[in-house]
Amino acid sequence: MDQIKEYFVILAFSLVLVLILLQLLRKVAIKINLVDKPNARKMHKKPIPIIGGVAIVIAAGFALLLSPEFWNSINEYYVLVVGTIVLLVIGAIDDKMDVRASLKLIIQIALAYFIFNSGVRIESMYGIFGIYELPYAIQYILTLLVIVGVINAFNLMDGIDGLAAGLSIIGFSAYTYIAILTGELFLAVLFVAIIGAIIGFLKFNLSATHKVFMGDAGSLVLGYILVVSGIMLLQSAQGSANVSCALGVVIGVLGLPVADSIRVYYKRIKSGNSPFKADKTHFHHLILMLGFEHKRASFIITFFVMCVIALSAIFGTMFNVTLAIISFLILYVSISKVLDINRNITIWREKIKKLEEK
Amino acid sequence: MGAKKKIAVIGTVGLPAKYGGFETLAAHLVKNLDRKYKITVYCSGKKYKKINNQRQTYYRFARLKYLPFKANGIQSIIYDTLSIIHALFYADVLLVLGVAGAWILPFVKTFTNKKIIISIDGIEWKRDKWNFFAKCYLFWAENLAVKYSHIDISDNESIQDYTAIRYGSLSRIIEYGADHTMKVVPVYEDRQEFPFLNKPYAFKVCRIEPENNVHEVLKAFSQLTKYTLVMVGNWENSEYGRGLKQQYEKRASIILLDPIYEQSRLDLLRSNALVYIHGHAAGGTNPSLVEAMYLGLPVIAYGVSYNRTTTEDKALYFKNHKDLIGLIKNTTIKELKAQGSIMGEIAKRRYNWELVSDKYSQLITEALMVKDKVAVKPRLAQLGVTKLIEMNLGHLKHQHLFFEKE
Repeated sequence: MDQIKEYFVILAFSLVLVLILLQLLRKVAIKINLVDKPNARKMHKKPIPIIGGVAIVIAAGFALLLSPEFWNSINEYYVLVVGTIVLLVIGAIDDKMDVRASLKLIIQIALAYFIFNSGVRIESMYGIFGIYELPYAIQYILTLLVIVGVINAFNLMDGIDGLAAGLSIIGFSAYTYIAILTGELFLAVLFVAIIGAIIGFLKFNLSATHKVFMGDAGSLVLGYILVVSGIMLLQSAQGSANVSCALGVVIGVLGLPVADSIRVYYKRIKSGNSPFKADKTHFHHLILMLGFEHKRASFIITFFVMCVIALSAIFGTMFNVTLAIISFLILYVSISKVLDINRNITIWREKIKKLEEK
Repeated sequence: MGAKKKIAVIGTVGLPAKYGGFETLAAHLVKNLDRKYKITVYCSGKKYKKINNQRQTYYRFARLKYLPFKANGIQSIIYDTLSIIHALFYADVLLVLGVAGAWILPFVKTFTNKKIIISIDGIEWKRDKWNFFAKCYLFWAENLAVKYSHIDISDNESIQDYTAIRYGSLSRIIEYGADHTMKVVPVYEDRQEFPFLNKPYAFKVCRIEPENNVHEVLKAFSQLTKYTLVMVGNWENSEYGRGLKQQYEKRASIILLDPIYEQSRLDLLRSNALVYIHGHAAGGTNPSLVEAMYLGLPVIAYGVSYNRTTTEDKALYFKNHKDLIGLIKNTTIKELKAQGSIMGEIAKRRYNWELVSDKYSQLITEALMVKDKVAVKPRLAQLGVTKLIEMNLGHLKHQHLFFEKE
């Protein structure tokens, strides 16, 4: 019970702190031009301060200082802290003045390498497609690929209000459950602090008058923590009875951003474009084309992912994770295909209207 | 020359024609071409029941095959698919009307040597009558239909523009015939039954759907109390129709009639009208419009590209009830009569079944010879600019094509 009380305190502290920080830093951000200016492709109409990421990290960080688990285990988890600070800084610079994509990539690869060397790595496929322990070289490549991939995939999810935050909240909530299950108490408290901060952030993110964004600073950091702590949870669960559940949850949390990025890159390459060319074809864009407004769409996607995580955890434990993955992929591909057709229908309907008026 | 080629006509409700444009088309194709080809037409067993001898085995010299499914709605997918599969066993050319069965065409084109001519019937997926999933299916199926047929047919130039832009393919245009209609002189009993035949009236016949602007026309005529409007349609079939009927039927100058399936009865009411109102906003060349034109009626049509193309931009056009009121009030009888002759001339020239059947026959011959589909842009245009200039073909890179109108 003490544990639960502690979590509540940390969460509340983090939440209150982030609210204070955002209120104070909003004006500052506007003054120093740390804002997102609207353009034709983006969804918003006036400049929005991008301090969500910084506020979340600071608030969660201070809240963590209150917890004994933090001081006990900080040595083991320093990679998380280091990586967070690095990405926060790079992200903030990028938000202010656009860092080159290649530079961001190099930093991410360097971080991934750093993490791999510290012992946090994908050592096994945990039974997916019947594969278990992986050869060293594959571990290396896979770890790097997954870390860099998920960080970027999550970064791309930050497209409409409340989406990245919503996905983070349910992601970290599911992770908290696994962390408690596997005895990873440091991670549990970390997740709780972050959840508190994000909830506070959401209040501003969804507001019409005091809106803030989390920016690259926020989405890179959150994506980073999600993927690295996910690997940590899996390593911790390995060999125990909880491994299938953990696997199901991690895949459920990271599945949609990853599948979506792959789909979008593939489609862009197939059309002969660069995979980084900005267009409006991400999953959340497709959902918006059904006619929902932004907050509703975020909610729908978040709810969908919540169901996927739950089903994935249950499937994984009761049956077999490979089956869960394949089912999820089939589901995702079918839904995106239908949504994609709907998007084309919407585009062509407009074009035809113009033709008909001639 | 060899044996007669076997043609399968797929996707219509069946013969004898009782339902709509595709059925009338099938009937006339059979009438004109059943000596030239061995034709089989697939019919819906649900509409042509076994009792009362409704089912014929032959219609003129065309064989009739029955399937136990409806030809329209969601059953059309299985209706068309089974027809196509059955036809693969004997036919040389498959003439498919509508895209419901298009999902199977990639297999037909890859694994068999049967030729496919498909008519895409307006831009079906855009119609408001379909739900979300139906629209998605039809949109996707239309893509397959155009990509995997040997020849695709639009019934209107504006649709040809659309397929050129979307698919880069050159659709053929074959419209409808109207010469099965005729002017009917009313007899005494007719005038008793329909008193409005004794004075001038405006006429409109259509499915009662919002896309056909029924509400706009009714709104206009409710303010034109000195002018009579006679409208025939399936009022009771929808909330939209029932609502409008209730709202407008009490007016003396507006006469709303239920659907008339008998050709001569419809012609009676139609051919004696002073002017024909055509409110369709969607779907290519409408049979009802060309029929009205053939009867020499002046036309006031909704100003959308398809209607302008059908009437060669020579009719009168409206966008809303205000325009319509203006046109009715300000056009003299003399002008209307002149209009009517112009419409009649266009129809005689373009909308006769012999011409239509002839075009289909030419397409069949072409389909039997062609291997790949003709594209709008020449394949050379895909080469780089420098290469083209080397070959003195630089102009091919950026052409002003027929569908890029000002």
